Amino acid sequence: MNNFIITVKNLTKIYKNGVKANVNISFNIREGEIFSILGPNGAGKTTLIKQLAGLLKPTSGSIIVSGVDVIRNPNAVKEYISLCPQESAIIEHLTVFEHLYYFGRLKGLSSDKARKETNSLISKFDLKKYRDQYVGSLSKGLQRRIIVAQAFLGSSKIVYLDEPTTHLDPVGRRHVWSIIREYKKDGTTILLATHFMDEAERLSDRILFLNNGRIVALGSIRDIKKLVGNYVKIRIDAYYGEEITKLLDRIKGFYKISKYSGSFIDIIVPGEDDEVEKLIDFLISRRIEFELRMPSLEDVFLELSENESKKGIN
Amino acid sequence: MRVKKVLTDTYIILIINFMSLRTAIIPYIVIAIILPLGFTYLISLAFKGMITVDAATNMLVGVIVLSLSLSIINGIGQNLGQDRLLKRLELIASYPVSPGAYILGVSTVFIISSLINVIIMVFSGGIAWNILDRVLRVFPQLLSLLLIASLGLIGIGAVIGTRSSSLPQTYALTNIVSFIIAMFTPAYYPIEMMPTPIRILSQFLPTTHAALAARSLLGVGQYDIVKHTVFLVLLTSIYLFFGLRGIKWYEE
Ligand SMILES: Nc1ncnc2c1ncn2[C@@H]1O[C@H](COP(=O)(O)OP(=O)(O)OP(=O)(O)O)[C@@H](O)[C@H]1O
Ligand SMILES: [Mg+2]
Repeated sequence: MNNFIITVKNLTKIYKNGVKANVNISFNIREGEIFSILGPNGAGKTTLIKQLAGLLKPTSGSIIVSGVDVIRNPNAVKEYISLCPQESAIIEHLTVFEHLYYFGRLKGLSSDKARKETNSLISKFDLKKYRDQYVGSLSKGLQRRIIVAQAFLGSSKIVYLDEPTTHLDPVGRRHVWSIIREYKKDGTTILLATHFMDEAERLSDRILFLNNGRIVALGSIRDIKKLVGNYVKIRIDAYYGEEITKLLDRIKGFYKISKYSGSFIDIIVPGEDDEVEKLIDFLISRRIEFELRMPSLEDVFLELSENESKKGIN
Repeated sequence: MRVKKVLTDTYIILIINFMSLRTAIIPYIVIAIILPLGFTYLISLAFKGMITVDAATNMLVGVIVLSLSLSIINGIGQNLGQDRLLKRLELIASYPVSPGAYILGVSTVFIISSLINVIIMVFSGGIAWNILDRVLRVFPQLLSLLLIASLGLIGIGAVIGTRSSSLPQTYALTNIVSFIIAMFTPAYYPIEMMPTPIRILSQFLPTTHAALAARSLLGVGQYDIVKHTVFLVLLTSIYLFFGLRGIKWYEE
């Protein structure tokens, strides 16, 4: 069960300009899981992935990937991993077929095998129509699909995907998600960096929350949701705003109005059943329409980052 | 096994780079072939009957150095600069490919094209100025000198391409440096005519020593061929060393 394929210990990266991009990060990744690094822009996700790929030298700490000490032997790890970098570094003057084919060769595939895998990835990623077009002439989203597809050449045991679905439309994103799940089913370990909560929530077995280079939380989605406590969110039309605020004062129990935007109010209710029931009964009796929501990762993330920045002030 | 992978990778990188000619074949032909041909033709027209054999020989060496310097420094510098700054290098470096295969693949493109370049110019210039037999007599030696000089130029281009901090800076530096090399190499005129500071500067250019040795080979100067060849090899090694060292597979 607990077969760790990646082990990271006390990893710190301080760039030459003094930016602390990763601070004392430790975690393990199990073989065959989808492990997500989730965090806002500048959190340090790309920095972390680049170090795990043997492309960027850490300031301190240790990284073992598939038995390879990455810091001591950064090139050896490249036999076991594939990387989809965040920025589509594309070679414009190659056709879609050539792009995949030549990188397959660089991956070490024979020309036959590279051709076969290229054709299968082209159909898997819906690129058949563009097969013989220069990649430089394609849209950003299509170029992105090529780079993501490329990460699956040579069936690496471990695939790093850094923001794989940027530039993709909603249909394209879902399509890529389903492909990622397929590879997971086949036993591929996937390390995903993303700032999309929905992406992490749908795909991940476990999530590492990163903010300002530090781990904010680590665990399964359920574990992480538990971290901020058990609560339910009830969303009500802002039309009832005044009535609700008055009445909430009167009934007993703890309620917190988290958001009073122009169009709706969110009421945070502790997860104990009777508390929730009390409020719901009340709303029904007043014929007030409402929407019941479990906390999303986004709520959790906002709460955790808030705590983190408060800690920073103190 | 490892050697085979390095050779295959070099070949693949070479092919990938040559593929770019498909979309840029016309500008390439213009720069590499039509311009130098046109240049020699114009000069031979302008100086018809007036140009001495020695002057023509100097002219030929000069045109070759100019063309190599412009095409290699700009080509290598901009190629490496773009790969690095547009993060193409990051993609390539994440593959099990050695930096040696990468630089060898990219350089071979320029070695091959400069070879073609030199051959075309030797023949066109040789015929236009009626010095072909004189050139062909020492052709292997001449070609070796120019090849070593090309490697030196690759080194200089690589120094720029691996250290520039932005693309505009890359383009500016490669243009300036290739121009300086083309101008300050004593190819068209004797080195004795140059002002002292430029003469000192020219000593650090591999092209200077290649040109002087080539002129002696062709019988239009009494420079020490051995000495200049040694300097040429030395400078080329230094530039190559610093150029290749700049290629970072593992970023600090
Ligand atoms: N080469 C570099 N030199 C100096 N600082 C850097 C460098 N690369 C990144 N940084 C800084 O390190 C921090 C983390 O950057 P990183 O790219 O890892 O974040 P990220 O989580 O991937 O962000 P995004 O979601 O925008 O991709 C940022 O403050 C960034 O400005
Ligand atoms: Mg990033």
